[in-house]
Amino acid sequence: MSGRSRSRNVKFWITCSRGVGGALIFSLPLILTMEMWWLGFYVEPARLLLFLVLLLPTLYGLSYYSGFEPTADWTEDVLDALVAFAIGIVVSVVSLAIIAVLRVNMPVSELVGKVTLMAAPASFGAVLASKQLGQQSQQNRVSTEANGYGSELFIMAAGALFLSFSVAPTEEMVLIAHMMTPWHALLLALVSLVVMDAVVFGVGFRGQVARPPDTSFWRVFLNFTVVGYAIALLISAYVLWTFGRFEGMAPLPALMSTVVLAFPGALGAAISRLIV
Amino acid sequence: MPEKKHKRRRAGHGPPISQYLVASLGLVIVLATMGYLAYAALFGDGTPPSLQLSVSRIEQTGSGYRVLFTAKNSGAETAAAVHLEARLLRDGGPVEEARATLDYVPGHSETKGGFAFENDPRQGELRLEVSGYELP
Repeated sequence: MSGRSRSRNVKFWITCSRGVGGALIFSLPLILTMEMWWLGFYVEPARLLLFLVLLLPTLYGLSYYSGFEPTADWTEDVLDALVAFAIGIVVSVVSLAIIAVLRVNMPVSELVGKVTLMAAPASFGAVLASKQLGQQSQQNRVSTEANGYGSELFIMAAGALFLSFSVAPTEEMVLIAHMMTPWHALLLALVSLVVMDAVVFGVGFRGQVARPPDTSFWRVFLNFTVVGYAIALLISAYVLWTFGRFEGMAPLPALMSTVVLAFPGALGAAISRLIV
Repeated sequence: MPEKKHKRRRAGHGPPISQYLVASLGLVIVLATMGYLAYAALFGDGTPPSLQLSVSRIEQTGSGYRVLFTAKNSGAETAAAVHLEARLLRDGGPVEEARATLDYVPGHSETKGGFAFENDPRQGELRLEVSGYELP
């Protein structure tokens, strides 16, 4: 092994360790949630598989826009997405085993269900780790501005997915939707829209986007806030469906739980535009 | 931001058609959601839970029998912590009882569950009833 390749390997392992840190930060709240362990035995295998199939391109996109490591071409982003997924799996297995949620005598289907569900937030954390925790310079970032509208939508979808996934497993999401009347849900939808717009344009967070001066308020509101909220609604419905929350439900309660979950989802969508 | 503006100006026209399409689709989704909620809020019936139980299947298991049932709520409000009882009667006398609890039966929706019996519930009369529930 030459000196140069050794130093590159050392660098890779350092980035991996940072990824593990990110994975832990993003997934610990879920690893310590009992509804999340139970999901392992009642999630339908086909829906879990579909979720994994969609997770990998999402990791790829996140790696492309925020960077596990500064990347030169798309094969590196694919590798990074896979490395992040591997870190997610390892972190879930180790943490779940340490808190005695995983046991050797469990059926394989239950083990696989528990680990893969937990690996989703963990691998999100791993991808974002170098961006959020590392000392990456600004030049290494692929600016989402340069990539246009589609990339903005993708980033919002990823943020919505992460936040709604983090709260969807809890019993409270179902309970809240059952306690609310349609009036509450309607008000929550309006509040979600206002909060989204405020987070991105209004309240002056770091990395905040300035409202382009030559475009009208309504145009920006429609193009980003309304579309972002629509994305949050769709992602929330998808997450609830994946977790089997819609079984036997009539349209109204199903829509109300979607609106409840889309509130954190909308916040995630708005914040991710600032941090990714 | 300056980059984007620069690019747009150089291209010499506004956002592409696809952006208008996506934005309209987003608007439709959001308006449909709010419209449906507003409709339900204004014209929805606030009827209390009304539960009907029906047996969907009876199966033999290793140690006895299981009765799979569906609880349907025809009211608009959700019933929570629904306690159910199943009684097996033969020749007018009780043979066995089983209980089940459902976490939620949302309004106009249904939830499935099962009772466990030692005796064959197909022989005799099986009565299912709701003993109580909670309003969340």
